[in-house]
Amino acid sequence: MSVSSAGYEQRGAPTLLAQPLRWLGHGVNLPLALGALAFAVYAGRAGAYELRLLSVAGAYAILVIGYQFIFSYAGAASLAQSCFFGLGAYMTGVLGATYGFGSEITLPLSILAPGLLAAAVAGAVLRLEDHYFSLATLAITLLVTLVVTQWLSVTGGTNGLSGIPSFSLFGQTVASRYDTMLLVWGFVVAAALLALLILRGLYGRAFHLMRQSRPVASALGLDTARMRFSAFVLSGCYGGLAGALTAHVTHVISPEQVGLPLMITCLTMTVIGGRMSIAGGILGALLITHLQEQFRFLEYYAFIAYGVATLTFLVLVPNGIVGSLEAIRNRLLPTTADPIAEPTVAPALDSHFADQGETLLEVDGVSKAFGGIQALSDVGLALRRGEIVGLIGPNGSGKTTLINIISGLYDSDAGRLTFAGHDISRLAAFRIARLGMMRTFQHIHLVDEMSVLDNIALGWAGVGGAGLRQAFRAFGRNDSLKQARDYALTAARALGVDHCLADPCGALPYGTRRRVEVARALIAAPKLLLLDEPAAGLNEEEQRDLAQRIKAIAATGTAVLVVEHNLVFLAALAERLVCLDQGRVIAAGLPTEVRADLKVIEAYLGTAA
Amino acid sequence: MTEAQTVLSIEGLHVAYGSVQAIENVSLVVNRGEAVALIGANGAGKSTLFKAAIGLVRPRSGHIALDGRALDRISARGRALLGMGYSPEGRRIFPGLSVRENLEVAVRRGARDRAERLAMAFDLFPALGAREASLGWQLSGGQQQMLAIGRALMGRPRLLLLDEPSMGLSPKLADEVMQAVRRIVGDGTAVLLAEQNVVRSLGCCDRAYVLEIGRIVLSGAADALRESEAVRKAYLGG
Amino acid sequence: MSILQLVANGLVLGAVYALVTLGFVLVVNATGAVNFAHGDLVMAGGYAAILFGSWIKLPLLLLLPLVALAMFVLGVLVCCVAYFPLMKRPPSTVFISTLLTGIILQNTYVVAIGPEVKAGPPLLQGSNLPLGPVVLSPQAIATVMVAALLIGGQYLLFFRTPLGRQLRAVAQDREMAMAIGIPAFRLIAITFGLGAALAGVAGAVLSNQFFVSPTGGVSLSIYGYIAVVIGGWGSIFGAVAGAVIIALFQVVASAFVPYTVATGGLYVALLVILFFRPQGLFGERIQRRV
Repeated sequence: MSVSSAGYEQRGAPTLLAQPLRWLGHGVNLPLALGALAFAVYAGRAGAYELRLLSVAGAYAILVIGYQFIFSYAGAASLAQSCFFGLGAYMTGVLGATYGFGSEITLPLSILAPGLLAAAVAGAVLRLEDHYFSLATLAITLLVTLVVTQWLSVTGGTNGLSGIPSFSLFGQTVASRYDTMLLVWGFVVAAALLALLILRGLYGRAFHLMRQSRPVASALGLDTARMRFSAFVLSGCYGGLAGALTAHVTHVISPEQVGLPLMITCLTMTVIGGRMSIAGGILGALLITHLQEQFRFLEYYAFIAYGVATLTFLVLVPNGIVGSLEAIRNRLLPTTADPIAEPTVAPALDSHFADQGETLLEVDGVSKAFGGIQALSDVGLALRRGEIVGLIGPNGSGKTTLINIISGLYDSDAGRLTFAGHDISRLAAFRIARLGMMRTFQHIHLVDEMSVLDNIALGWAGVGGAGLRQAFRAFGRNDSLKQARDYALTAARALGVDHCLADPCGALPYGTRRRVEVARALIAAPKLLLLDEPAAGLNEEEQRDLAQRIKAIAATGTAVLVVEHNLVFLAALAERLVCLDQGRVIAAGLPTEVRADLKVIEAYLGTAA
Repeated sequence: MTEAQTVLSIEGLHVAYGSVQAIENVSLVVNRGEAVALIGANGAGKSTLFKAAIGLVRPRSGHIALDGRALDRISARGRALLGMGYSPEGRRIFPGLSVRENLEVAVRRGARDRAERLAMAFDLFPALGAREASLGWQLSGGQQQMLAIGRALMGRPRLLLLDEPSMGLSPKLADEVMQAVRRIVGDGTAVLLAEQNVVRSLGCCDRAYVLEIGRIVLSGAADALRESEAVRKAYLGG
Repeated sequence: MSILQLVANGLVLGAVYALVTLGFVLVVNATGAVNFAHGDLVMAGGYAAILFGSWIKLPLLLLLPLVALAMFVLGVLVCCVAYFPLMKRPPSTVFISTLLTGIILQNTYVVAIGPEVKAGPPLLQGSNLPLGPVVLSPQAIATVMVAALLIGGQYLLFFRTPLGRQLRAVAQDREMAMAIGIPAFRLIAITFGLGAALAGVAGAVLSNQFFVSPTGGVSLSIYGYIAVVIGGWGSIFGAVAGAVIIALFQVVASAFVPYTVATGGLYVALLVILFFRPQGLFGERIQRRV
């Protein structure tokens, strides 16, 4: 998986030769380039039958690449991909064969229609988790299949449509098999490049974090719903394109290409080729398409063998062919990271602080119940710019619940929360993060295969506005990724993890992982930093170090709210303490006062301490 | 201590995750009637050691024996049946089962004294009795910890492996747990306790081993270690 | 046909679907895995009924235990091939593997027996019995009784027996279950076996009225899936209720609109339920403390 390659671009314009050479050295790009060459040679000498097959394989490659957006990157097992394909195919078929429109009209519509369908159902369907989502997409596929088989007058029913014209642009027809093949594979290259653009930048990398934990991604400002939506719509558009091209190549279309049989084929290609790899998708499509043809004469025996083969792959070769090749290559020739140059400009903090004593966060009368248990009752607190406040209390007192409500992961039942002048009581977590509130979690979620630098850079993805539009604007220069890495370097320095920037996070010791996580929350220069038990799991030296770093962060104007049990850790750190017990604030004020407060002592230590 | 007194013996244990050496040449013993502390910072390897002991992780080399019986080829389930109780880091009680069911499911099929065993758990942790019908996910961290320990005791184990019981608990609750540990030892189950808090663990244990980056750097009687400069240095970092 | 007769027919069909869904829910509850080959296992039961029926001249009702036994073995086999090797992977992988297993089964049926639709032996011979305002065949009555028996049995198993507790524990945290002495792998295999046995019984029961074919199982898997979602993930009664709802809907709606429209309406209704009440009509989400 290319996530692990730690190639940082060097400053200054590289020589014209160095760029492609370095590209060839990464991952499996060299064998792929050779494969592409072999492909070109084969295509030059292929007959009509082989060309047709190649074209169909190309269309399926587009189908699979599109599927990877929703299945592999967004991690949602959609069963609607064949439905999108079918829609595109029928759109082209009906408009082309029945009404005689040229591809300049049918192609955009064939791409748009499934995209619109995806957009229309996305709102309802993407809220659902796992199985529910799969089932909903399956229901849509089944519905569309039903409509297609019943609408005899338009779609030809179970017999399908024939006589679909070849691709034609404003009257110019692409007639020969060879030209059609070139056209299709031209689209494949364009589709692949587009996918690369989207997935290799900051935006695409954010998907890895989202797959791991949606709450964590949201708390960093990532609009996870929008991300899944984009992935789903993209998969729809790609599917539609694939269907349209297939219709032009084979000149027929039938309901089988809308329903489960094609969906299973798509899954097979994705699994065998390689889930996360665009090259894998192309390889899977080529391989399966040709194998299916080779063994067609065996009929049902072939399907059995086919099912067994895919199952075997699923079990033994989970990353697909390309994924496994990459893994082997990485083991034989480990990638060396290019040296990281100094950032030419240290990013300036937003001057969003009005004045010194500005009240940043105000929590007023917040209550929350889970089932029959009252987790919080009428809780209130306030934070000013640059303050460090400790939130303490025995286990079950509601500290984490309060933090979750403040950061927007839960909604309170009653009460009001104001942050930087905005009412955030009902605001979504990612919007609160974008207003300038970042947090860490009790359980650390980092993308293990990604480097420290890139993990920290992910903290900028939500806030810096990385999205599809930005990805397009960048046109491959990965500006947002570069910028994020610059900022990440600064944050890494603040937390003292700039010595291991290229290391994958999975191999790091716990204390370092915690610091990387804090750096990730810090990269966007938040106004308020929420730390949920940051000292847990750290030894005393690490704790002292972290406390000092937090103090330094607060000195730049960031307010910090630290949830902790560890009073020793907080002693050196907090200017004020708020103590919760059983969902209520029982003491608040200077640390010396609160620690001496009898109610606090009783809550923590029992009576007669 | 004679052979018959040794409940757990670990010899020359090496555990690795890929290329990371998590446990290196660790040897320790736990004897009958003892509570032994395993002290170390996070990442030192305490949880890994426990997982190797209970059989959820396979060591590269080394021997583990319970009551003199070699465990090398025995699965986690087998070890549990032979008398090893395990309360893991993070508790991991069954969220969809009630408190009562969590306890019952840990009692071996065919055990005749199920009612007594449950009563023993509720006696040890009265707070659990009040929430007998609550589902696991509804409990607070402290209650879950008590349930995890209770569950581990349902098999009447010879040895209890307690991984970071006080993590996330208030000092008051953590002390309650430590008191329960003394009772458990008194009732005949040896305890191996992994902890980060030096004072608390030395306060309730008879002996201790100090683990640092996968190796035992210090060991001895709790009293002796409590005063030792070396412990301060090794663990608290000078 | 009177509306009461329609409802009665719908309930009988509901009993059949409930039987199909029972085995499906069993595996879902115990392993969290959706076995998309379940419908194909139902067909296997139908084929088994036909085969055994031709070898041993006894009424099907007496052959059911034999069918169940054979299917149990098949279920354990499916578990070993499509589930055990993939336990540590994300759930979507198991979904796919069972999908593929289904394909393998379907094509094996064609190769081994033939692509034609076949009818199985009836549970009980006999003419229709009038029961008040409705008329039911002995077959239908026996179907309902078998279903009721098995549904009650499954509930008792899961919530009132130690084995059921262990199955639920394994479903919730397999590793921890092993660490407290539960034979997790054995139980999972048993679960798949039981699920397949239930599927087989369902297939045998419906083979007479609803026929057996290589691809007949696909829609059953889908209905099972829908029933579980409608009823609430993990709830046995919910799944049964879901199955009955689907059946009633199909039977009653088909009397007024073409079959395909009724089926389409079913899918639309499913989407509506997923939109407004994703936890199902009877289900409850387990809240995770973050």
